[in-house]
Amino acid sequence: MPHDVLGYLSIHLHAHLPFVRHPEFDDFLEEDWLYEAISETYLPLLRVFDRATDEGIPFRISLTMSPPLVAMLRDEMLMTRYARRMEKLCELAAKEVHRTRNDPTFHPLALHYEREFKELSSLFNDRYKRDLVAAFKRLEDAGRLELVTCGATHGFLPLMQMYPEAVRAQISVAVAHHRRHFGRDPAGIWLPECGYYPGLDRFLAEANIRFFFVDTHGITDATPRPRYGVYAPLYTPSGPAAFGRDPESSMQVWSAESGYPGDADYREFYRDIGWDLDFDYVKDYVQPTGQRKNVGIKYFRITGKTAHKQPYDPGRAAERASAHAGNFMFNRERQIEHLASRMGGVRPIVVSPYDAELYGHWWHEGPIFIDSLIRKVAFDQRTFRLATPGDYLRENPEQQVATPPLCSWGAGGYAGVWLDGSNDWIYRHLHKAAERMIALAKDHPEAEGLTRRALNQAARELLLAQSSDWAFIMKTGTMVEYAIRRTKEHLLRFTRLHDQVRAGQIDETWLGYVEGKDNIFPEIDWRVYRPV
Amino acid sequence: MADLKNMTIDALRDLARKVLGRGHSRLETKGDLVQALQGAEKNVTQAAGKAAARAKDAGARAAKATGDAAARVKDAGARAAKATGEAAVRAKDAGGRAAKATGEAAARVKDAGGRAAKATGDAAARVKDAGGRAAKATGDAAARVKNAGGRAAKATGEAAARVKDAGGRAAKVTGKAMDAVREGAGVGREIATGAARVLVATAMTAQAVVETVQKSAAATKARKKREEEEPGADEGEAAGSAGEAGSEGHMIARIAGEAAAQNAPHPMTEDSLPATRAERRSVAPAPVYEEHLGELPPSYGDDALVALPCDPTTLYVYWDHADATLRSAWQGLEGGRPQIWVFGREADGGWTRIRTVDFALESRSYFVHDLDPGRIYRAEIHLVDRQGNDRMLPNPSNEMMLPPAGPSPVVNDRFMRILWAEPLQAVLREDRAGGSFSEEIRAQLARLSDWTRFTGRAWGGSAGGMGGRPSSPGAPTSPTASSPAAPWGWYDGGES
Repeated sequence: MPHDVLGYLSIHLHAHLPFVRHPEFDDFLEEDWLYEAISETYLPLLRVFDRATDEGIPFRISLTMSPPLVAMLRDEMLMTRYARRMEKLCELAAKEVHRTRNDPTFHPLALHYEREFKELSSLFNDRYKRDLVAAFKRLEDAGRLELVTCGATHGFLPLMQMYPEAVRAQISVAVAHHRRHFGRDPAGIWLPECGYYPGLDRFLAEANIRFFFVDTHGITDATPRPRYGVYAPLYTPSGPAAFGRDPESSMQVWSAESGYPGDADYREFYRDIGWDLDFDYVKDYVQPTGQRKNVGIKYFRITGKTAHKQPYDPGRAAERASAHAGNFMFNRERQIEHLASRMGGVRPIVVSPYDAELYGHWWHEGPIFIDSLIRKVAFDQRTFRLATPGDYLRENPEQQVATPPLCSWGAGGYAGVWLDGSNDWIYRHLHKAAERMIALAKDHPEAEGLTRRALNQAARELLLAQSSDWAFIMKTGTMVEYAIRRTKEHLLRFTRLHDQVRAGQIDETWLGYVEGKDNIFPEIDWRVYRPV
Repeated sequence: MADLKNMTIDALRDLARKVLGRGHSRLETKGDLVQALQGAEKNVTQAAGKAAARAKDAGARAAKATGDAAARVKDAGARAAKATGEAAVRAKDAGGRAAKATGEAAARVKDAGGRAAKATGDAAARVKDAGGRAAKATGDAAARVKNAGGRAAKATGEAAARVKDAGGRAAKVTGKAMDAVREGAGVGREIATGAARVLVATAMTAQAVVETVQKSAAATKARKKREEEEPGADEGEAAGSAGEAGSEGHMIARIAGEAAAQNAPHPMTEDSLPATRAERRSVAPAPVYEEHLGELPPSYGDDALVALPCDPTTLYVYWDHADATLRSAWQGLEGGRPQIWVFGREADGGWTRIRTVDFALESRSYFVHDLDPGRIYRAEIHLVDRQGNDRMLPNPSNEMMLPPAGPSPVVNDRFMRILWAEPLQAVLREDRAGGSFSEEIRAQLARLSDWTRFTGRAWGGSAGGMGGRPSSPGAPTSPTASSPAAPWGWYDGGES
């Protein structure tokens, strides 16, 4: 790639959801996380990326596809449920068109949603054949996306560092899963919660992972002190490069006080007809228990700082998103010009990572912002280029060597979110389970039949219990009951499997049930836990 | 469950729809239905079996058991009176189905023959009383709803009337069933089971009735409140209940932060909605496979002391000791107390005790605060007696380094070249000195990388999803006055 720019902008989207799959229920509320993210984030982003690719617009964006998310997107039962949900949503949108037929304000909006849902349904069923993983893979094959993996189940690695085998399993299972679904090794990894600790790079290097992301202080507080701040990566002692989050571009999008998504013209997330309309009217589209929920049709815009909301205008909001993309690009131009002038010939990289679900789910116009940004960057400026971390390292193979400190991107910047009075009780059990799993792998270097199945399922249960999402939910106080239940269930299933393997008495019926329920990582090999 | 097998498939479907939820009503065969119902009604059956045994031995004890059941019915009614929601139509259907189920259950009771006359007779009387109380509660609730006026009142009134009828029918059928039972003689498991089912069905009917009425009343109240708060905001549409949990709690907190989840317009946290989650779980169908997983053990008894890093100044330790270890450790110590000793590693590799903390061994974990950042620590637990003698509990903790709290004082620029095409493990990593570099520029680039330039750091992922979506009702569009200017200025005028 020619050295035709002063620097780089690296947009990274972290797509992850915890593994929520409940075949034992016809309808399960927490599965909505996945369905809403598909409708509001993954499909709209794919539409943006595919359209730009079809039009020959050059862009490069990196994207985490976390293993639990990939597993769910490749799960036939969940995708069938999603398709059914989309049918219902299209049905509701049609009802809305009829209901608002005499309302000049809301009827155009109802028509807008009807068109949108039909298009999303068509994309999902016809264009992508219910396989969004393949759709993302095609974009990587086309040279537009760089897909990176994550911890196998998003386990927070700094709090399992006493069990290097468990850390290694989180990484190697994720890499194998990525290879299985995307046909290549991941060049990079999104460390769960950006959680790094000194020494972790050794396991990344073992898996030939070339880069990862840390929060800003992961670079600025590294030892020795970095020369270029967060505007150049650091090679860790084992070789993988650490890229640090740029505070300024993060603030422009994420700030609760000043970020773009709070603009008055953007769609108001909290006003949804699932809550606003008469219950009898929406009852077939909310929870079968009769509890209300968001259905995805929202008629109001943010408007201002009061509860009074004005009707949403999609055209006006799209124009605003485009203007914000222009503003974002302009500020990156000035930023990169300044940085390049200070870095003595080294081309700076501005790394802007975001949760993917911000774009579309939370910030409804986020995909339009991305669409406008990649077009403007391609055609309206020549100061910088969109590049992935892999692109940057290919073009700039020489970097400073330093060791980042233990860090994360959670509140406070360390481990306090996942280790406080609300969730500290889990670690004694998680550690004990890790210790037992390592011992099982040591004592069973080979196994066949039922024992093999039980060992592999034990590994799955341990991984699922380690998901940082559960500790996070306990900390934040949302859906706590569910998080506790999930943690305990996986630990208890692990313990039972452990005991049964040790006793040589495996309950095949129960094992079959659990294999069908917690069916993530069918390719897993328990020997990933063999002692380091 | 012989009685289930005797039921028609239609009756089984109705019962499954009510007891197990809609999904299970689609079970294909009678055998499937019976199996599913058996699973759900296991507890009922067990209770019934026990009741039968007791009835066989003593009528008085059976009467007591039935009295307990009646009390549960009363409790159910009270709980229902607290419930909110709007499932009037569904409840009406449920009431009908429950009444039908009650009738069928009563018929089964009658067919089963008469035994346990005295005991079951008492039970019948109590059931009848319970049904009457439920119907009365329903009537009271209906009256309240009528006063609420409007559409909801009308619908609720209709529902209440239907439910009242259903309750009455249930009570009547129950009474007839119990009359039939009284005609019989002896005590048997079948009768007790049938009686228990009548109780359950009656309770469900009554509960559905009261829930229906109360939910409608709550809906009306919520709508009125909302209309008062936002006149005209809904363009004439009736607003619904705002008091239910959404699926968004996790995502709100993940993206927008804990505060957003707590302050969202619709309550998202369980603290706000203690009943909602429980209701949902109770209505959800029972798992197909009951795993009986039990609970996590309180202790593994393996004499462990583990240290974890929390932040630059906080070390977390937890411990777990076998009972025998503790007994042995306390032996011979007079008035001893436990202490955590925290050691910090020195530059020469030696250890210095830098903290002694008295604590309660039963607390099982401890956050040690105000330690020096960037240092390696380990901990030990000691029992110390009045004479100052101490005994260490096995084992010492692992060593754990706390992160530094700021930029490193070490300036030693080393650079490495790693070609992309070469596997990392194959790369011979040799670094070279970076040469001279302006410390002024290094400091300037560090300042640009510093979040303190901004108002309110945008934390990532967990605690705020990278800082959070600007929460409704909105915020200024662009970073302006609140953010210190970057050296290159900050353009906030929209598109360039």
